Amino acid sequence: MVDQNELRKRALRAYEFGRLRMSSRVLLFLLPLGVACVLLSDNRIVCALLALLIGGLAVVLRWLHRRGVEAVEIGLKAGMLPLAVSIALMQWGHSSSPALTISACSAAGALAGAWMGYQLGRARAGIPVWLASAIVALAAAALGAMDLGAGGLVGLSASYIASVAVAGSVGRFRAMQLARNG
Amino acid sequence: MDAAHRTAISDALSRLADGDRSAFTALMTELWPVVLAFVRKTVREAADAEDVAQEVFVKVASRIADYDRTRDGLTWVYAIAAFEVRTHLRRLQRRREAPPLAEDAEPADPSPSPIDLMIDEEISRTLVDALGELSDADRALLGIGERIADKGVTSTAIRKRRQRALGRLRTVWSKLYG
Repeated sequence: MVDQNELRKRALRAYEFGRLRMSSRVLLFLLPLGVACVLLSDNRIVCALLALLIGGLAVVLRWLHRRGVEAVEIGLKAGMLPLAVSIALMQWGHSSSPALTISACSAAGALAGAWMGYQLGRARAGIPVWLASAIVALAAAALGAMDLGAGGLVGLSASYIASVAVAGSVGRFRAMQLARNG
Repeated sequence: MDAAHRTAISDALSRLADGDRSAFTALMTELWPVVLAFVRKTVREAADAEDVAQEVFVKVASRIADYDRTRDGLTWVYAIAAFEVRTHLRRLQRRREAPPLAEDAEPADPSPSPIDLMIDEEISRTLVDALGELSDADRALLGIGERIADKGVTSTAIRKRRQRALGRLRTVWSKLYG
């Protein structure tokens, strides 16, 4: 006779391991990215800690729920543009010009925020998804922008948050209009 | 098994794939008897059947995170169960295998195994479902159901119509089962 309680416990454990395996797949993308950022950064320890934080956060969010999977996906996509811009600024030696750094970071942050806000607004995502996506996106962007100084980071974050709010409202309004028109 | 039961299983699998742990009780209630019955049909020893069914259930649980909600849940479960049962039967056969004998050793049984018969049965059932979506005329062209009088129609025209009916059957099949 099968012990249903024992079977349930075993199956639940297997289920959680299965989810963990699925959620860890994001590390295939994040590990090489983190290693590259650490190698390019002047502040390697902080950069490594930030990379670990993003990796852990991404795995936990994906493990918890499907909404976490979506939040991580959108957050990482949104964070890639500011990250690429920050790395490019560092590599081409423009980080010594604060005006250029701040404006480039702000522009990248605004574009990333607009894209993310529009996507989440259109999908009518809940507040936890907004928060999770924003944290992942900002952490991914900070991975590259860390060496650009406080000005770059603040500019990026401020423009990002402002554009997320505006684009999110527009996306939500469009989704509501589409729903009303059938 | 009725459609409501199939839907309940697919629904529980989808919820669990989303991360809704509260659907586990529903899955246990709906799926465990089905898995046990499936395995019992192919594994004769009752104790072995229960062990294999438990392995199947645990394997299903461990793969739910990768479950594609657009597909039928029960067919997905049967695929995992068939693989596990086949592995078990192969292991049993290896254990029973005697050391190699002389040339008078009996050749392997060429008849299909119980698990192959079950899979054939499942495929036949899905084919009947797909044929049910076709029109009477298409079914008649494929040689199923009543023949429709085809006076004055050339053999080339009949062949072409049959090809088109087969094409429609393929479309229905891929729509239903991916």
